Amino acid sequence: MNAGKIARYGLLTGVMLVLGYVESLLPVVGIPGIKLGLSNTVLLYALCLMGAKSAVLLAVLKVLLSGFLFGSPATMLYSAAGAALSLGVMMLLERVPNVSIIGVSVAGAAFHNIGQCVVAALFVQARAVLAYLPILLVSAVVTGFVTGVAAKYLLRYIKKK
Amino acid sequence: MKRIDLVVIGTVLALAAILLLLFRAPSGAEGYAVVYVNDEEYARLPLDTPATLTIDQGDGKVNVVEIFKGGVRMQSASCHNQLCVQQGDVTPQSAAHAALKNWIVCLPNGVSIELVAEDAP
Repeated sequence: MNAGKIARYGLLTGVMLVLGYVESLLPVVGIPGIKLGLSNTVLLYALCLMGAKSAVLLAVLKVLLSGFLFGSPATMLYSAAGAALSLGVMMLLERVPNVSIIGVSVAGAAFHNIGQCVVAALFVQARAVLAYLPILLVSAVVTGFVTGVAAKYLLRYIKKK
Repeated sequence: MKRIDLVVIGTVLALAAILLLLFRAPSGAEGYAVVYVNDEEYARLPLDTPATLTIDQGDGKVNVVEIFKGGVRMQSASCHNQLCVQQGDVTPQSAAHAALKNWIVCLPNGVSIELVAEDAP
């Protein structure tokens, strides 16, 4: 890995951490577990322009660093499960022809929530988690769409340069 | 945005709809509240008798469940986010439109309460 690459990974990791932190400051409308997921734009960027391996590395860095900086072992477990499932599904869908970045983003958002619900089901009654999942999935469609559109225009702009 | 993106969105929404149908909130005026600690049933409290139940797990995790006429609320909890307390009163009426339906969940302490309603005889 040369210096240019290291700088690029560092920059992208920093952008993800800042986006995640800024998002945590925004008030959430009464429903826990719902957030925009803006830092996923960086993963979408990495997935499309740098390859799957780079995206995995960035996701691991994000989970570890934001866990140590802003979270606890418990929150790290939630974000690790969410990131693993989400990135796995995004990597699969990215290879399917004709799926645009918006579809990849929506699926990623949905599976991020599913991953977190799987961890939550380890701690409380699984039926309580399943009762909550529909609301998370509907919100994932909205937030995944918004981040997908953001990533689409981001990519278009970067490719032009 | 392509047509197959709509298929992805439709799949997620269909999954949500299926779960909603499978886990429909109960309706009815009478019933009981089941308190779970982690995955195990801890207590079963009838809704027609006002009561408070303190769940002390011995490791600093304390939850106080209050039964009032016709419903249940988390009166207090030792958890850091207090989301369970903010959920407020859960009754068979509120369960129809609440985000968590007939459940109160304290994720950090692993305590969940299910409101089980029965039709009046």
